[in-house]
Amino acid sequence: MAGVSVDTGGGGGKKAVDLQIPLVPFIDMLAMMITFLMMTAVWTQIGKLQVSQSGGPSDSSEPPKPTLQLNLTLTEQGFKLTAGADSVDIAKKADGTYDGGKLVEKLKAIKKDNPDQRAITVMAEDSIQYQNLVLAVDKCLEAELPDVSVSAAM
Amino acid sequence: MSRHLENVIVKPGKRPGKRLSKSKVFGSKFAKGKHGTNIELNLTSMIDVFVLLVIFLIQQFSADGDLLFMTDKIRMPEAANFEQIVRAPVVQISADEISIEGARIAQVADIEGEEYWNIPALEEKLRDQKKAYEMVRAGADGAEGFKGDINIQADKAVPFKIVKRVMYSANQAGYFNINFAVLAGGGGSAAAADDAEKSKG
Repeated sequence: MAGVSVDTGGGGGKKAVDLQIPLVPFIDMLAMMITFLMMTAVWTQIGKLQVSQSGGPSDSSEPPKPTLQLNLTLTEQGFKLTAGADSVDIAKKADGTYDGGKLVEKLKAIKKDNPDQRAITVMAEDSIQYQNLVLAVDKCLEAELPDVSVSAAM
Repeated sequence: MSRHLENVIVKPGKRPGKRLSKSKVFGSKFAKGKHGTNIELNLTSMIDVFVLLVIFLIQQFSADGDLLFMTDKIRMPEAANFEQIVRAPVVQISADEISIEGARIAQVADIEGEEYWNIPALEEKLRDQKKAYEMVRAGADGAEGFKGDINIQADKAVPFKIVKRVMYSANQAGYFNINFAVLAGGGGSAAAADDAEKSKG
């Protein structure tokens, strides 16, 4: 029988003072816990990016404040950010990927000038890959623009 | 006399040379007598390992369970600013097919050439799900109304043309809160994980 002997001292007494801690049930319990936890473990962390389709009903009860019309268009060449009458193109990086860092910079600058701005419409061409759309939505959320609408580019 | 003979007359059989008999490696092969057969199992280090494993696995534990059907056909994109995913109908879009809750609805190749925006089979299935939800929840105490949540789990290489049509079909069926399912990643996930924890709480 596995156990740990603990010498509790007291040399002069008549009664045996050695204490045996039973380790087998403890090891059994640990083995059961490990089995259960291994079976129920979730190794991938999954999340969601909430968007609405352009033209759908808004779920907020308060009427939206008049803010800037902010559009982000994804094209084969890169991002095209339109804020009211102003427009800026963000070209793809040299390796052919979309420049998310620069987009966040621009969006944060707009957010700084318009602190009440919450809404942005992301438009994409038909050929744009889903991962690039997700990247654009992710960057909008990073720049504290939580009301993201998605629509097709005209 | 007899002592002298003991040193000279030795028992026949294998015996090592003087140097080998002193060797730590080979000396024991010629040792006399039996070894003890009791082996003391070192339990302390084993229990230490078990405890560490349990702590690590408890940290990984999630009571939410798997809300999405993970398949090798769908490689999900990564995002950093995500929220905690909630239970809702899941529309899966792989490179080949569109399915809802694991049941195939349409082939991507078939719908790619179509002119109109919606996918009739998907729309019908979503309407059925909405009706079923409302019927089941109508009589339940403290039932929340239909929120119109839907999770889209798409492969990262799927063109927006397909995603757009799925979104349009969901919209037509009354699902307005569209959630893109993503994997945690893309840098800054710690902040996002904190947000996820807050929304969980």
